[in-house]
Amino acid sequence: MGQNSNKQFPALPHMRNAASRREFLERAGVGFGSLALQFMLAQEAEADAVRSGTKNLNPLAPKPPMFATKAKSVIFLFMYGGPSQVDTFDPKPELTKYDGKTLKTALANVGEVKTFGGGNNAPLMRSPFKFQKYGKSGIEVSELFPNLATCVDDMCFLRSVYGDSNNHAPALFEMNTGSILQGYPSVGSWITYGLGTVNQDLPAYVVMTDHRGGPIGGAPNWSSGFMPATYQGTVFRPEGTPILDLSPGKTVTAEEQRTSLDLLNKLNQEHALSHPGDTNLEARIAAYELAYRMQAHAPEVVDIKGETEETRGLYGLDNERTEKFGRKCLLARRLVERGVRFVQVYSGGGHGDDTWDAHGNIVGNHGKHAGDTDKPIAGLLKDLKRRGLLENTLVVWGGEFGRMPITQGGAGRDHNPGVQTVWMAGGGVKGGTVIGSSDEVGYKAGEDPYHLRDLHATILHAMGLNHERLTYLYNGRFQRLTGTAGTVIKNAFS
Amino acid sequence: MRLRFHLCALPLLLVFTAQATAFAQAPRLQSKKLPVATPAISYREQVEPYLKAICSSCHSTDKHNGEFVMDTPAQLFKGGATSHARIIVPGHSSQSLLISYLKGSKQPQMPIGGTPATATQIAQIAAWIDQGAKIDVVRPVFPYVPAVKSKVPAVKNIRWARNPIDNFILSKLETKGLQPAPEAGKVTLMRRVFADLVGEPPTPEEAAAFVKDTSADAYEKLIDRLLADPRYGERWARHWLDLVRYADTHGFENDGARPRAWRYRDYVIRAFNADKPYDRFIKEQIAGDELYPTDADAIVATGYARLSPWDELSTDHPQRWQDYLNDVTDTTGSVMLGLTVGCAKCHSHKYDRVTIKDYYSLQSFFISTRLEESRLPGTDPYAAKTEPWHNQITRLSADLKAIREKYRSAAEEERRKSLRPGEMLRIDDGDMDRAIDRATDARLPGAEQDHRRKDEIQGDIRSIEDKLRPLEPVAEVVKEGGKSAPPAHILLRGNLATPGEEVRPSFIESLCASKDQVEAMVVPPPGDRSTGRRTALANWIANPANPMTARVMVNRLWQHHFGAGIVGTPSDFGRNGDHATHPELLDWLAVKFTEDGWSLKKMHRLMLTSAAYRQSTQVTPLSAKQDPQNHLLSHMNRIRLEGEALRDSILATSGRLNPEMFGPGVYPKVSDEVLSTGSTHKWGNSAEDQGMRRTIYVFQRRSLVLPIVEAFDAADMNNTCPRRAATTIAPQALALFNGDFSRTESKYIAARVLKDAGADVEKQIIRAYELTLIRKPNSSQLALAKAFLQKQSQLHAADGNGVRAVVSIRPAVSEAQTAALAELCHVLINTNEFVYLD
Repeated sequence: MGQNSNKQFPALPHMRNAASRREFLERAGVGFGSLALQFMLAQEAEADAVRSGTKNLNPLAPKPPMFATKAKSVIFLFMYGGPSQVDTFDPKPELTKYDGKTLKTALANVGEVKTFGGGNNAPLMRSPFKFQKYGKSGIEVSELFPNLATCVDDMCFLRSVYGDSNNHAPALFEMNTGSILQGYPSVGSWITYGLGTVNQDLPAYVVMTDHRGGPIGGAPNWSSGFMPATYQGTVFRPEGTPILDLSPGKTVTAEEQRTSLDLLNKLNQEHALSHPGDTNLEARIAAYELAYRMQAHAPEVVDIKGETEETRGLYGLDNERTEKFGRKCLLARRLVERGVRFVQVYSGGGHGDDTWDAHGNIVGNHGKHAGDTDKPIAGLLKDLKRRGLLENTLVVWGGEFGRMPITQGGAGRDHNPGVQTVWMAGGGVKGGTVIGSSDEVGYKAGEDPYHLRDLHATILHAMGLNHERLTYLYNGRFQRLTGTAGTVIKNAFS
Repeated sequence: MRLRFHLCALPLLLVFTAQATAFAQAPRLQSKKLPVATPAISYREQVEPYLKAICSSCHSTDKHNGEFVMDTPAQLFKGGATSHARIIVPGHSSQSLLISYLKGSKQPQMPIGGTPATATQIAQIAAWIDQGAKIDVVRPVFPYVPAVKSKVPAVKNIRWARNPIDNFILSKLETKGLQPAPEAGKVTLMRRVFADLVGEPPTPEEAAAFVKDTSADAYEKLIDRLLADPRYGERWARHWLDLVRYADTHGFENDGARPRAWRYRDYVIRAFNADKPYDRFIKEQIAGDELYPTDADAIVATGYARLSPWDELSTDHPQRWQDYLNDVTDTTGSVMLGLTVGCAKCHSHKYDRVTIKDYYSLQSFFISTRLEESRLPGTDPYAAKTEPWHNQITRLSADLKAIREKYRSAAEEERRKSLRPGEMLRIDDGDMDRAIDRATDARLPGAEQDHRRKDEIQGDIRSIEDKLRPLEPVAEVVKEGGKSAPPAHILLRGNLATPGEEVRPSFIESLCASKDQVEAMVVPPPGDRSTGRRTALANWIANPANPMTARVMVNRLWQHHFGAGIVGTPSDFGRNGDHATHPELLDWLAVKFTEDGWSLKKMHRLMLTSAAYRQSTQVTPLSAKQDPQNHLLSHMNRIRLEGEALRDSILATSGRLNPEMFGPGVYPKVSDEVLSTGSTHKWGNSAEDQGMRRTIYVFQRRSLVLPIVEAFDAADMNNTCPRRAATTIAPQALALFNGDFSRTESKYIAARVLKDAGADVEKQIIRAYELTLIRKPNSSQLALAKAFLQKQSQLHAADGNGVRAVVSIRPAVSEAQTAALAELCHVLINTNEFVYLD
């Protein structure tokens, strides 16, 4: 029992100090045997496995969810720049009524109005877009999304989501990682950590950025933070060789590469034989073979020759305007079809009006971005549904924040972390529903406000992960995606 | 360790449990007839950890369901809205509602939504209640008591032990019936210490000379030579930079550059190379401005408190400042004290002896900190480099002035038009520039040319200033503005909006030997520019009496040399960290460290010359079974090169490594596809030879890590990284097997091979092995390589993908043969033998 004779480290009468965190947990948890404990221990077990080689070495090996669930994958459509709720999915007749008036006129206890770019006393601006009821549910959608509107009966609208920062970078980090500070693991990392992946020939967590550039903040948006890099997102390009270094370049033929790999394997195997029992060495041999397979499989994902004309049309690949985002949506389907756990697709890249950041002109900006994405997203939902994939795939749509009901400069809107509409579809989500609301003019979350942490708890829940029990020990704390908060939006599920 | 726990502790636990269960069933009986031998149950050790683990998510100050809080024993005994004092009735577990709730005999059964407690666990708590529910005093134990120099244990195999480290290691091995592994071969050992101390492989010539040197102290001489090698500082500074999350940018939206941050990086390299005593190293970083105001290095060192990410565009400045204070407090706690003090930000630490008051008191040492740029005292080492640029600016400014002067009268004339009565006629550069604009618009003769020339000069001056700025003798530092500090408060739940009790600068109580040492003696240094708070903190941390400082640092050295720390979680010596495998050794080393004047190089030397370090990595079946994680060090751990060491080693092998030290960050070439992943990736263009410098000099952009380093578990620049992960994943294979970097360098390795070996294929293969793996191939490897070269030459000849030899040799070698040789070198740097150190 490791009794310690040194007086400095007196052994306690009956149970000595735990030899490790794991032992402490095991001891503290005699009878605790819960999933929380299992997950705390899984992390330790992984380290043990790597060191002692007694367990599965692959940290991405598939793991069962904490409870039975429908969703197996997530497609997160990130509308970077911040789409305006009152112009898309949150109709506001009162805003039309108070058009040109101040916020204080419309809302009694509005308090101090804080915009990002100034103009705190600017007048309210009605939405220039018409809303109309759709589907059996009769949910209203603005004219920006004529195609997506036909899917409302599969969609669940969260009209009261709010965050903490009105500044792009912290808001992007918060939507992606739960913290406005840089350096925390992203939602995709948590899910990959919790569930692993079923297809080892492809990355578990894939990110497709916009053709105009990445989002503000760059890679920290899909970082694994303090967790191992294994769980970070892999940037995936929609054509050719989708992953960095996937191909050895034009000067090396397949046969030459295979010849080199064969020699490498021989040398490594011989080396491993003279170093028996070290599974790290064997794992590294396997990783080369895996990489070689990935080299074959990943380009196959982006090779869409096999897709019918009709399917391509569904995603808008036949139209120059929708082709770019449509291709990524189609790839998102192909990726989840192949078992990829988490796919994030960005609409909007770089800065300004290349993103949804409609400071100057909501009609021009949102008209453009909605027009580029409406058909592809509708195509994605319809295609997933007809292939029976929608119930296993949680689709989430949202940006880093919403926008102000007051105008900026007469035609645009400024950032507004106070409320945005996020919608979800598939993965066990109840379609044709609206949850929560913003206030009368869409300035702040109104009834049933949901913080981004609640959204995160809900995404994890859809994937069969309890956000309070999915923990990772770093810096002395069992860290969680939801920090010390988060409530699952249970009524989003059927 | 763990195995032993299961084997030995379990039966004991079962015996004990059986007793406890009996107590629980007959509480009244046994409260009187408690057998003398019955073990007393410790609340602190056996009850509290369990209750905190399962109950505190609902019953703590954070979330007090049923008005029941159990953060402290007093709160626990007070009970909640329904239970009140009946929650625990000392001596009577059957009347205690705590037990009823856990059993479910009172509903709702606790923990709600969690797995019910087992009979064993309930029995243990019940037994504690029946024994009187006493709260035992927390006895200070490791690591809260100062280290004392443990007695060096006696060992049987006295011939093996080379220094006291070995006695500690061997005595434990002998207790377990394990034997240490034999000493590693000379070249293996040499590769190991090279990687360990300088982060590069030896050259084949160095290896040959070492093998030839049969003197008794050949190995010790090697260690001394490498400790004196300037590359030592580059290698070990990297470990420190991991801890302090060094970066050259701010992070967040713009990820703007910190053009002077590199001075801190260079300071750390110099400090390691100079073997700056560790206590002084800490003092300089925390309070260099107060303690050593005339020492440029000490001023630069305060950049330590400037390294956290910083949101340049934040609109919430009080919160940003609080985030900064939290970050510097947490990092100081983890890095220098090995304690996860950050946990006490919202509530007193649930596992370790750090209270929320400790936390904000610790933070108050930094509260009057100001982030500033400071001109450095002393001579400017970059003056010779920057002087020509200054001269250029002087010349260009004179030219600019001459152009402007031509328009002075026009500018004066214009200015007169708006002159108010009594106002002096005064014009500035702007007036003259506007005069030039007007003259250009009016197409006056020569005006357009002057305008163009003026723009050119201004552009030239700007670009020279951009080059000059990072090299100006100015550093990013912290300072203070006066001798008074604003009040500091506890922030309830870590929230700026809910300040609590005011706190004064004081030290973490559990780390102080007595209560009267807790309050800090703060004396403002002369000049009234500063409160002296950071000096007080620095003196407390950098002190042999501080139980953590020396232990934490020697453990870090141990980790890097042996692959795992004596405490496996080097920044967490607390309860959630790993238990020390050799606590007596750790203490012996900690005391030795302070006795030796906190010299890192002496400590390195001690560790590296031990027999324990010189062991081979060979595992015996017995040790694999008894100690699978090698906690007892019956053999050496195999260590994988980190991304930086891997890149540096490849560059050293190709002969292209540029050994230039110090200065602003450099930018190796990064592909466009990597650059396009962010909205604003500003990646510079360094000259090719600058891009070949050691990785520690590569510009550290928070949003963009050099891909080859990132693939091999780079340290995250936003969080303190006490130990690199060593994952094995497919993208690493892609990076090293397909990536441009290793493919390019392989061609240069091939060129070296050709230069050294000429056209003879067998000689080429031998040389390729010597350069990459520091050994000759065996006969089967030679045969394999020959066949490989032949096949690859044919393939490359057929497809025309040859490589032009970088050197010309005679008889000439065909491009296809050169390409084949490059393929061989490429395979060799991809082998496990290259990437892992035996």
